[in-house]
Amino acid sequence: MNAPRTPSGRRGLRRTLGLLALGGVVLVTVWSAADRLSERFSPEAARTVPPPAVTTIAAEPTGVTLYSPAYRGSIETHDETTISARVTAQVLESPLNAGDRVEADGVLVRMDTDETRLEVRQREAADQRLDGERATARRNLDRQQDLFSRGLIPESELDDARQRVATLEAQLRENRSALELTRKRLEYTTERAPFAAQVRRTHVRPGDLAVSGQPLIELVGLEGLHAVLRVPERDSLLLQPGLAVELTIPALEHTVTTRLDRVHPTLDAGRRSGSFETRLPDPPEALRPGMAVQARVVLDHLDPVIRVPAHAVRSDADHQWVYRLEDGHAYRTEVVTRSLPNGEQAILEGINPGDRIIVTPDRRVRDGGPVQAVDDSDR
Amino acid sequence: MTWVEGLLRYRHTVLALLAAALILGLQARFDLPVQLFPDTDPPTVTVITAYPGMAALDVDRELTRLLEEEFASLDGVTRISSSSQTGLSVARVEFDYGITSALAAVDVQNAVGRLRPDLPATIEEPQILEFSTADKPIITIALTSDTLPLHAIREQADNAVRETLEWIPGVAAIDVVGGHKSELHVALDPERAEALGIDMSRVLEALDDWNLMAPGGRVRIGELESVVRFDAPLRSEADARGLILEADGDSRVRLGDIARIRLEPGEPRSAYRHDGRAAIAVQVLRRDDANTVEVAARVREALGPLRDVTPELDIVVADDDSVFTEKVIADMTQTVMIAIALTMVIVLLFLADLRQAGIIALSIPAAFLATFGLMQLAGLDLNMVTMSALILAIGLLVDDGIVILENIHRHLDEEGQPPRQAAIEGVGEVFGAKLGGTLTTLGVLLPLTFMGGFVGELFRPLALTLAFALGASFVMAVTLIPLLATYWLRPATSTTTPRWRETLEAPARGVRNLYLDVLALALHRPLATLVVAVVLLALSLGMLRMTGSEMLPRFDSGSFQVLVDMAPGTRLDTTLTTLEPVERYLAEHEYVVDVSSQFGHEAGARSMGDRGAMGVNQAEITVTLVPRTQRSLTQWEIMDDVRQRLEATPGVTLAVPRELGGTARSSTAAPIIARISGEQAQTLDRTASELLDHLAGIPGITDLYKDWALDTPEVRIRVDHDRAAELGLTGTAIARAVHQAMDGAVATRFRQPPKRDLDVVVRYQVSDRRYPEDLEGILLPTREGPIALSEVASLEHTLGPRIVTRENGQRTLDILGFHLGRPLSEVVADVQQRLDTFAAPDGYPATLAGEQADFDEARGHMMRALLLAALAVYLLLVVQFRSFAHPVIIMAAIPLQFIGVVAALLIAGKYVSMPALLGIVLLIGIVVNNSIILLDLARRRLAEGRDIYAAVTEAVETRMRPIMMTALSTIAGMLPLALEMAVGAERFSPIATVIIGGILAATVLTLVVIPALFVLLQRFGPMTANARG
Repeated sequence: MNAPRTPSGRRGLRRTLGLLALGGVVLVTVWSAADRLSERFSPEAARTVPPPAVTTIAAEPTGVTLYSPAYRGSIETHDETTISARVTAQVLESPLNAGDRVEADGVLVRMDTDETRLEVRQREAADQRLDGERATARRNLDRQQDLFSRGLIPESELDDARQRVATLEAQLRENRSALELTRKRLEYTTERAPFAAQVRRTHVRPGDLAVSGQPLIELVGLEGLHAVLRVPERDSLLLQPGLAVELTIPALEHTVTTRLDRVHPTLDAGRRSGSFETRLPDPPEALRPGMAVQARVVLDHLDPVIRVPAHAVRSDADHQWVYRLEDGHAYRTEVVTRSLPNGEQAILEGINPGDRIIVTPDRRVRDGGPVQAVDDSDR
Repeated sequence: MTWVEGLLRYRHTVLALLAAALILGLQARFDLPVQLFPDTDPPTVTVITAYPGMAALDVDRELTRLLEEEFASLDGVTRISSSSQTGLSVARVEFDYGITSALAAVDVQNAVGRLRPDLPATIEEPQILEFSTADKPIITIALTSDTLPLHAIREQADNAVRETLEWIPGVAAIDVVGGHKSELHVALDPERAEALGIDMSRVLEALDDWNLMAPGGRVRIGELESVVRFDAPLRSEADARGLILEADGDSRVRLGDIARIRLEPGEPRSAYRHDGRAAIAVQVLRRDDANTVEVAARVREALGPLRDVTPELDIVVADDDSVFTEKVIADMTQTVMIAIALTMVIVLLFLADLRQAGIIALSIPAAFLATFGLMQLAGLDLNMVTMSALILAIGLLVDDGIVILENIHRHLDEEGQPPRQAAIEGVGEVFGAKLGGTLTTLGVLLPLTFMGGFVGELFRPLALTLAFALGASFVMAVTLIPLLATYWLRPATSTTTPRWRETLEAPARGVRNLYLDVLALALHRPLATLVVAVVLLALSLGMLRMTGSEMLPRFDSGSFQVLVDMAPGTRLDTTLTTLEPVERYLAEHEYVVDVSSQFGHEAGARSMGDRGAMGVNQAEITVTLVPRTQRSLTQWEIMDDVRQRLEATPGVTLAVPRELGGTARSSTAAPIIARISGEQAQTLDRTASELLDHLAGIPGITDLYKDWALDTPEVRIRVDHDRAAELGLTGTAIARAVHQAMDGAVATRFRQPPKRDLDVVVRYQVSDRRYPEDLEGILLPTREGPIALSEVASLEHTLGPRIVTRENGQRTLDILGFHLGRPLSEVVADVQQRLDTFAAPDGYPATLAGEQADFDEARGHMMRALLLAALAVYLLLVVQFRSFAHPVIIMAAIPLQFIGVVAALLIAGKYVSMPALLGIVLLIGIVVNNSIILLDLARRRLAEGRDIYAAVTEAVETRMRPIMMTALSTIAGMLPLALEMAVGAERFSPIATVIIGGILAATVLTLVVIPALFVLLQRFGPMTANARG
């Protein structure tokens, strides 16, 4: 092997420098390795997950009215009739159409009167003739009585005169009765509404021959309108006459509070639904039978209770509870609730006024677990 | 005639060829497409099937499971994952990389066709898409307007914008999200309808019957023929209002009597906001085989004309990574320049000759341009991977040139030969060794291009680019450099060295002498030297095991996404209101470029992210930051800030910020996935909750959550069969009536040419379908007349899953986790340890998936590549040295690199990762080069009859300069990448770190340990004989 070619003095320096450089690299490597090993064997603790942020509401008792579900039904009336022809005649006039309103005694149908009118005149003329003949017969009877009293005629002639008067009077009465009948028939050619009503349907048009007994028009009375509402079988047991009912007529955007009048005793066999009836005080002008109606029955008035959004109440098969906020922690509090409409629950028991109830539906909230309460002003 | 003689004789031809290659390369540089990351996603086909009205578990049971079973039998399927949600099934089938997505789609289509008769009748036609619904849209366009209301913007987006973009080649689908899609809304008043005896089905029928567009045949008019048609579609709201539903005598019931009909925005189930402002998002999804950059560029190009035709719209490209991509490429180009400059400084320092340095300097751009040309031919593009390869290549590019030039110069200077002769001999002497060296490096790169799997896709562009660069550099070194050297190099005019050269050469000489001292010591004690080396190696390998690993290094891409969940069941407007302050907070910061948020899922949209179609209580906030060099906070600090802000927001139950590209594979949802498989949803949920608690507190995990849970409020309707039967109702009829009343039914289409048709949707008016009591009041048509739902059914409040997932045929529930501050391998080891102690119920095994599984797979591929590379190198060396034993000595340098690799990783604070492994593989080809040129000479001297010590010492003395020079120039070239000077360099910097460490160690040790080993082995007779032979 060749000998080294460098003077020994500088060699020492170079060696030292070289060793220093090598030592430096080794040192940095060892330090990095130690650091890596310490990182591996004692790593920084895991980040603690902050408690869930929640919003709360203060428990404020308020009075609550409990309603039944909305029941549907329709407006009905007790006055419904079908007007039929009482004479056979041609229809001259039928001024009403389905849906039209008619006052009591208003004209419904007018029929041809010519024939009846002529008959009336004929009867009247006969009446006059018979009346004249009866007067003549009476005068003849007076004369025959005078003659008989004077014994100028036999009694048989007096009897004839009497017979004649009696016959004429009977004919006169017969004629007058017929006249009366004809006048009545004349009256029947104009059909009038028996009560204020709405036309449900018309069966004849002008020109039709209305045969006696044939339906002319169907009427529905506008007085005594009431609502009949269907209730599911299971709800029918809850209802009692006298309960307050909040009635809405969607078509008229009209809402009225009334009382439940009558629960019908039988269920509809087909639908198995019950029904109840309620009157409409001061019905609106435009109210019509057959209109859809919706009703909620006031089942109960609750004493001041605490209303919370439905999602604030948690539940499982057996329990219902809310979380109360206290000192930055959530505490499970069992409650008794009732459902309110529009996504709310009424807490009947378990919460005191002033308690702060967690309303954030975060499933990480646990009994006794920490939470961060955030007010809207914090955000 | 030697190579150089031929070269010089045909120099004009050679120069012309070189010029042509360089011009083509120059053109290629500007033609190469640019993108951030290579497309590494496997061919994926997604089948989306709507199953209206069905709950997630039913969709899973009746539809998704069957689809999965059918797909499992297809050829080339590597993974099947699926999700089932209310009314929606999404099955994703991944195929081998070798299969094209078009062919895969045909297979899937056929499979669906075979299965169709067995699928439920009420499903809608399955959509087969050639991409994954988990893919992020390649570009999202935000539409806002100062003058138009949101629904009018939506209409523009659905028409003009969508139509323009749909025609762009490579675009698979356009999803429009946000605002309210208009519809002709028929809001039925159930009371009025009931009062008039009309039910929903009558309304639906009437709308369909009178939206009339039908053929009527043909008729002759004179000698001409006319087509008969009915053309009376619904043209307006008034048309719909006037539809007669019932006629009885004079009375008519018209649709307008029982419903409010308006052309109005539909009920939103999704929303989008850009920088806190309500907007419409137009998301562009590309076909699986289309190039992201090209499609995105075409989309951006198309926006210009769109802006002209819709001046009232403000069209902004939101969530656009092109700006970032450009920044990365620009930064990396700058790094290339810095690397070249550093390399040139080293070259200049060593050569101490401006002419020589000039020749090297010229060879670099020449090699680069040739590389660009080859990249274009191979269909590569410029991205983080190929740019990293280019930076890596710089250090290697000059190696061949330096060695050859140095040798020519030695002949010129020391042996006083004329330039031509010096070039001929200088090149001739090292040609074989350099060719061998280059071939060994290429031999290493070759297995990398055939690695297969995701890692193969990722590193193939890198390996190819490096191979091209090395090939080009070798060609330049043996063509351009000898040519230039012949004309430019001059022998030294005086024997005295100039002062400046003396100053420069002094330290180099010092190092050389120090080396020779150490070598002398080593040659005296070869065994001790080897023992020290082995001990160091053992320590290093031990440390390598202790140091953590990760798939890819974390990367401050300046872009992250926050997954937000509000409490399940939260309504869309609450989600929107709750998150608005957070978005505003983000948008206020200077470092935030834009914030876009998507809420819920737009029906029919095909991009869903990896959480499936989001519920209205879910949101994804995408934040784009300025590049990391322009802000003081890191992306992770900002992400943590957002997380904390969201965690302090009431109602937010999950806030997971995750960096885009946080997992190497886009199909892997999170770095840490603990997967529980099993059949029963309840047991899965319960087990997952227990496991979640069991895994809590593992250091380094930032977020841990379940991908689904039984937590979504459901109202189950229990139908009383007896009552329903009494009324002649069937379960399906009841379900349909309820669904139509609450959710609505599309009766027909409202035509408004040339715009897209709108749906005519019939449902109850809002006030009649809000609360459970409204649900109970829904009217069911029966033969006895309409009755309320409450009469035949009761309601039960319960919890169900939003989504149910399956993985390769098994129902699964994943616990996803992200990590920070600790390497993935350590976190995963802790997770695995806890999993081992977790008592899962029988039939519900908990396994570890996620990025670690990907890494394990990738490591397998890399190890195979490493072995193949080593084998290739060995075989090449056997050929070169015509010996089976000498290559073993040469390859002894390979394990030695680990000493440097570990030290470098430790000092740089990096972990073992895929790029680091790649660096280790690449090192095989690099470190043997030194041994080759060293042993080459030693063997030659030995063959000339020299003493073994003399031969080795001379070899070291002669070869030390080029070895040091190439090592230092390589290190200088890689330093900018190792130092992560460029934005985006973090991803691949471990390659450079590892190579620097490996080269340093290998260089130092090659010059000491290899000679010692050589000497030691020469002591044994057979080896000596062999070597001499």
